[in-house]
Amino acid sequence: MKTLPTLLCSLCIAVSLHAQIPAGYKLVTVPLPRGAVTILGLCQKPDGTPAITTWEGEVWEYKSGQWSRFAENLMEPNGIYYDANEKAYYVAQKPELTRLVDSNGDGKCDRYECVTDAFGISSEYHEYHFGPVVDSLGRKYASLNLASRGDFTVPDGKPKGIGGGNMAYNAPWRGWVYRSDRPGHFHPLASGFRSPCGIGMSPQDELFITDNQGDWVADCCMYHIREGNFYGHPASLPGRVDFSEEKVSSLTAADFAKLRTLPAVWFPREAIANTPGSPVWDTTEGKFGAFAGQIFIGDQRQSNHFRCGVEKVDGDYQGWCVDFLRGTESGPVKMSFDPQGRLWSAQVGRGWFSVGGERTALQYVEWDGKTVPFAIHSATLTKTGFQVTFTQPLGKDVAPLAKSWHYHYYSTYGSPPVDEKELTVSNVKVSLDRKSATFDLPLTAGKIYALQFPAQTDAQGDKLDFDTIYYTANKLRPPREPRPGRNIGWTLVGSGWNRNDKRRPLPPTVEPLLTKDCELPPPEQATVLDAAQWTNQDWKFDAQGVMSRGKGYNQTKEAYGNARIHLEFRFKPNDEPAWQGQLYGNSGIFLMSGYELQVLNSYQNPTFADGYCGAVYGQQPPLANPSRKPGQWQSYDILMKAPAFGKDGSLEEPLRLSVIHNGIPVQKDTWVYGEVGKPYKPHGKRPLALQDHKGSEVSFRNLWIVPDIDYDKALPSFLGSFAQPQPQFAKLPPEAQRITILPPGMINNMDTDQDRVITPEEFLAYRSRQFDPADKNKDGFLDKNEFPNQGAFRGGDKDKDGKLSREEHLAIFLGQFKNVDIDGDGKITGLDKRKAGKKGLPR
Amino acid sequence: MSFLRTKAHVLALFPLGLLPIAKGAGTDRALAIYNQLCFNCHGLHFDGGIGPSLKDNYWRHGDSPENILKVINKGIPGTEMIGYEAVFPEEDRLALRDLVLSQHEGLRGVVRYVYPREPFQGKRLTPELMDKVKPLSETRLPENVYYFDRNGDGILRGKSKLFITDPGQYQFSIRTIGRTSIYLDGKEVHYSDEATPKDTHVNTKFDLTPGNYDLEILHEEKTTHSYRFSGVLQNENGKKWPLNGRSLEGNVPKVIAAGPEAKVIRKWIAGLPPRTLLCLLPNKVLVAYNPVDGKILAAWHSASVNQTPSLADRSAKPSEIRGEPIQDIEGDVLGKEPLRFLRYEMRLDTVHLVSLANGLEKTVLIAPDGERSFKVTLR
Repeated sequence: MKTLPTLLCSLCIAVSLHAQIPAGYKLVTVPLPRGAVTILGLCQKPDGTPAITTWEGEVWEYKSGQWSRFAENLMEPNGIYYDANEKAYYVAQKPELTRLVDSNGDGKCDRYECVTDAFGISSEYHEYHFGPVVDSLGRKYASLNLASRGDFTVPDGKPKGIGGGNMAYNAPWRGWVYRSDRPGHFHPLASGFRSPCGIGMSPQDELFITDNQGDWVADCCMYHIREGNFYGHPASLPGRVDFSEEKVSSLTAADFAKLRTLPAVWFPREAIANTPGSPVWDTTEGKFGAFAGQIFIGDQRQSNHFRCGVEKVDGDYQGWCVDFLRGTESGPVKMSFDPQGRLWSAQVGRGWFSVGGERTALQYVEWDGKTVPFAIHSATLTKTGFQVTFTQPLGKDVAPLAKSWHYHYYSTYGSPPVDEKELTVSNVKVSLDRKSATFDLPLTAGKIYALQFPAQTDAQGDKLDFDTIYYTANKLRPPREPRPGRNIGWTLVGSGWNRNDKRRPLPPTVEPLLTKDCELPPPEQATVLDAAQWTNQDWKFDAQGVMSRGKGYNQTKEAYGNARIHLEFRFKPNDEPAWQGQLYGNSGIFLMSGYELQVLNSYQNPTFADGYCGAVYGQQPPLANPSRKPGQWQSYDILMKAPAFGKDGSLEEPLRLSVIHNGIPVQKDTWVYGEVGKPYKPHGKRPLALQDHKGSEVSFRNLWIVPDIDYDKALPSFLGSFAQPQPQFAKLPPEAQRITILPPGMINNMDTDQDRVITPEEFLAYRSRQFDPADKNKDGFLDKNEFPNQGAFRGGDKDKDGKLSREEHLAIFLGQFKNVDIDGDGKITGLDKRKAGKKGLPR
Repeated sequence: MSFLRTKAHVLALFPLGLLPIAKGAGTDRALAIYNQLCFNCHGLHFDGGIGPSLKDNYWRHGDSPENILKVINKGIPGTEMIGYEAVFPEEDRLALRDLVLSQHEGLRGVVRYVYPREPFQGKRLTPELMDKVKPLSETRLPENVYYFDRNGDGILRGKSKLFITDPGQYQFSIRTIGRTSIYLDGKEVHYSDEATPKDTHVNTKFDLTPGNYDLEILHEEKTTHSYRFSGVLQNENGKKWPLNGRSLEGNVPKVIAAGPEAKVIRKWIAGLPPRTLLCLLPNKVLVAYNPVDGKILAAWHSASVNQTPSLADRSAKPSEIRGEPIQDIEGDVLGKEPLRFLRYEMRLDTVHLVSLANGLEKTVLIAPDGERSFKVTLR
């Protein structure tokens, strides 16, 4: 084949015009396969074989200097992960998270499995799908870009477009990051992303996302992801049960600001990043040099690699970033460390400008194993200033400069630095080993600090390649910080929260279905769990079949595995302030005697989210809170699949659980991770149990169970077993809703009294003000040149004299007013909406 | 200014076979062969069809006389272009080469140099001045139009031949971005600079006779999101030759054609739902299947998929299906049950599409049926 010589050409060391590569490191370019015009994704197999995905839809593997194509004809696979146990790749194609399997071992994919396609897509090109990354439990995480055009944007009163809110929510879950535990599972995790191009999982199972500057995103940044949090771009909020497009449109930046979670690290634009890619952690244990444990990110625009670190201050991550290397051939987006400790980057310069200039490139950075370049290593916030650490002992003079600023949070594209000021640095002290400097400066929470060491040399007289480190101080050090290891609780894998974390967002309150619709009679094949079925005689049944809590747990006589369960429960009203929170109506459904579905009065009784009624206690809060008042009967419908254990007792599949509370699904095929406070240990069928909890006056009725049900088969119909009502929201008065049918600039000019109502008088006053400026020749009429809309001109020129009088001019716009006043109430308000449905159509 | 030239002058400048084509017996013979054979693929008017156009600026395999002859002699493996070395005598093949060359008006043999900016600050760009500085890069562009892949980060110097077949008056029309100087056979015919008043600009009309000329374009502009240099050469009859364009690589649609085994293609096609699976069978029948509702949306015979160029416009353009629509297809395959799509597999000439409906796996098999049709089996 003609192209063979190029494929075989040896690796060449990149020489770039403006490269700044730290001493001891080199940047090596790997030749690409023919046809790989744009590479998007990159991963390493455990043996070090790199695999790439291309925009053209191919997956290639690189073995002993040869490329071989593994899969083709995919749709923009923007990220790839190799599962060594399954011997399969996972790729985030635009429409689907896909598992690629080579079942006959010939090195080519022959089975394309859909892992999840439960998110919407409208064919808008900007709806990218990035990922996946994987946690230690093997669960996949990926992020979904908003569209760049569409009907639903959040301009917040500014002219739509670059001026305000250009990114659109055209389909479900755009602007979200999700988790997929297994094929067919989709769990939306967190909202508020604009263009979440970078996604990374820390070695501690914490998810981080980088986002791109734009509307509602003041600058490029990295977020620590916590399940249920909102990260700032309001166009994604309609995906939440407690929001709708109308509600989002009625809110302002000040409202969203209260809701949002700040980035852990801001990346100052131009200085560090304009289009950051995926974070990767230096887990090479020193094979890559002096930066073990740090986060490396590449920037598509800047063609650089930079380093980050985060630390918990008052419970939340924040941290620093500093440039590491500049001058990659194209724009790095996805990166990965190979087993030899080399940092690979998949680079792309298509579509968006990349300083490196090449259309695409695959490069790696290699350390020589000995040279430690003089560089800023890291920074940490102290109570009075900062401590900055270096890789080499410092020379004689240490004179840092400092600057601080913050950003606007608004719908406009990007924010300039606000309130930027030089700060006085005092009390500079160098440590004994001369490798770190501490200094004081005036600290304010919510600022970004640029800490610069101009002309700083090390003891040998070497200069820094990059002399500024940027620290994002969302919070200052509190007077007393919790001692590590005490009272922190364990972190839930991938969710960003600790067990029973009080900061975790509470499930949104929704309307339950009617009680009578939830009182399902036992079907034929069900076992009715009446008095004869229970073991604890202290739990008494009355004549109506209502069982009251007794002393101790109550187990069924029979043991169960897979099951469909129905039961109803009721709390005794209790106004005692001492009996609130976890003490008000606490019980629990102990599935297989160990896995707890929480029972609690959650009607106006706030507690931590994973302790709500409908929660997998201590793990997964319910998706919504449809609780009824104490004293009323409530219902649970449960479908569960028993955990599966291997012959050696290892866990093969955790318990799977779907729950409907008062007719509303609150757990959708959730994986349960162990019994309450205990890891898994192998077991077979076990009885169902009800919890006796201090303070709980709970009674049960209509308990029945269908044993040995085929969970997978029953799941779709189970989740659809109640008519799902559309979320209902209080109708807002017209004046509370923003007018959306006219461009914001026009509204501002028309609505002179700013009451969000445009009367015909206001409308025509604005139009008549346009007459004189348009009448260029000042003859009191508008001719064809002065009124360029020829169709309207012909229609409006009633007397056919070839010009418009003032009356004719206004008559044209009176007609327009009627067209815009959709509901015909004689005024233009937020209720006037175009009838046409969404363009593009989800699915 | 006029460029009246003699044949001797042309010969002196172009000794390498880049001669203007003289009409003669060879041309007639070449035309006869072309009209008998070549036109089948390259079109009656050299404008392409199954094969590429021989008139446009894109020369995948080079536009030098040597390269063109090589393609005629040896063909292009993997395409319908076979080698004609054993078919026609050498003089015929040379005549064919000259015929092809004669069709290709405009820029030829484009070489793009990038120079650093610093040495030319405040100085008018001239070939003599630039000769004194070492360029940062030198690239032969097969596309015969200028483009930058380094985001304009430097000064462009483009060297090429200009081949003209119509005598008459010519003029460059250049968008005023940054500064641009154009030299034809060593003489400045155009100068524009957005920083200086318009009356200092030069924009000469000049007469050309058929033949080859040396063309140099010197251009500098600010680094921006994308390169903005743009210009054309036009003659008095309104004929135009663009000077700028796009890289060929990544801008040529990749054609996904049917192969010996079935393929499943996922591309964005305007008018089809984004999750559509395009099943391209070995008999060139393409079936569009929507895995969301298990429906066959459309089908074509004699079909291929034209994948949108990967570099244009941030993927904002859809790919295209080429082929003849098959009418009256039975669309509803899996009925009305809610589906979860599980996987697809290609097994020889058949595509297996597996969904979960009501807890049961259901497989739709799409296989070729004759030359122009397909059959659907549900399992």
